[in-house]
Amino acid sequence: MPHIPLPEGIPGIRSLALQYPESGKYLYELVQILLRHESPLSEAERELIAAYVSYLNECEFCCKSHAAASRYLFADASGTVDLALHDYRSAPISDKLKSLLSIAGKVQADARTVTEEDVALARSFGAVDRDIHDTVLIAATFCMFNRYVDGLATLTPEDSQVYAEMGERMATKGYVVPEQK
Amino acid sequence: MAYIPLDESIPGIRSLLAYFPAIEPAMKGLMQTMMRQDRGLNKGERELIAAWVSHHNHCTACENIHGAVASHLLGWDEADYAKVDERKGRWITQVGGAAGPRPASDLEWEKSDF
Repeated sequence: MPHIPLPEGIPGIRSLALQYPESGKYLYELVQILLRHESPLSEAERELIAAYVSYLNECEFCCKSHAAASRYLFADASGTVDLALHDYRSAPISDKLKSLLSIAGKVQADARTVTEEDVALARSFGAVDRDIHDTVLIAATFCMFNRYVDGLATLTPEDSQVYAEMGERMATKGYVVPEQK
Repeated sequence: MAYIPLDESIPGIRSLLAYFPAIEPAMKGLMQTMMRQDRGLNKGERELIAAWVSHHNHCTACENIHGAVASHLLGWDEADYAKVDERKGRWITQVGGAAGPRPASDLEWEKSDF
């Protein structure tokens, strides 16, 4: 049960954007740029970083929805997402993405713990400035989204099918601010 | 030294917005919406919450800037500001505790408690 009055039956961030459209507009704009704007990281990889940080923050709604979007975008390799969330070090992903997930994890726990060595390791696997920048920005922003969604106890659906549909919509249509019907 | 090539003549978040201008309209719009309205919480209280969270995140630059803005908006003088650090915990409890946001007149009254 949410801590404040929100539209009934609407989950997570959507309920907040519907109730508070002034800030919702910018939050959706932000996530659209983070996850869909041009970047050296693929959309699937960026959704995975978002899901991973949400997983570490134990934000079930954000983790399940972005994991679903990542699975849809990884298409034939959709199994990668669950392997990476379970243990990215042994998952079938590039060393570059592993090193970036490690940086994302540090940003989630305490951003001050990201070291020059972490960044140098990512660069040794081919990461460029924008990879590092986008990883840190996604990780930091998802900490915000996770806390916004959980701090107000928004609705978290339990049905996995709901997330699969959500993931497909996020992957194909991007982040469009919801409107009151 | 920053880990990516940022303009070192620009501090903190502004250097990041300059590096990645695509994010600027959304980030500034969000900040403006969150921080510069008086509905419910007034601007000073919003800045104080930002400073308080930054304090817990050990982000000194954000804490100092938002603490200074909060101090200005709440009408604190220099002597009040010097006490911010030691009194901050109590302050936030009074300002945003179970009773919820309070009118500016209450804040003025609480200020005299320093």
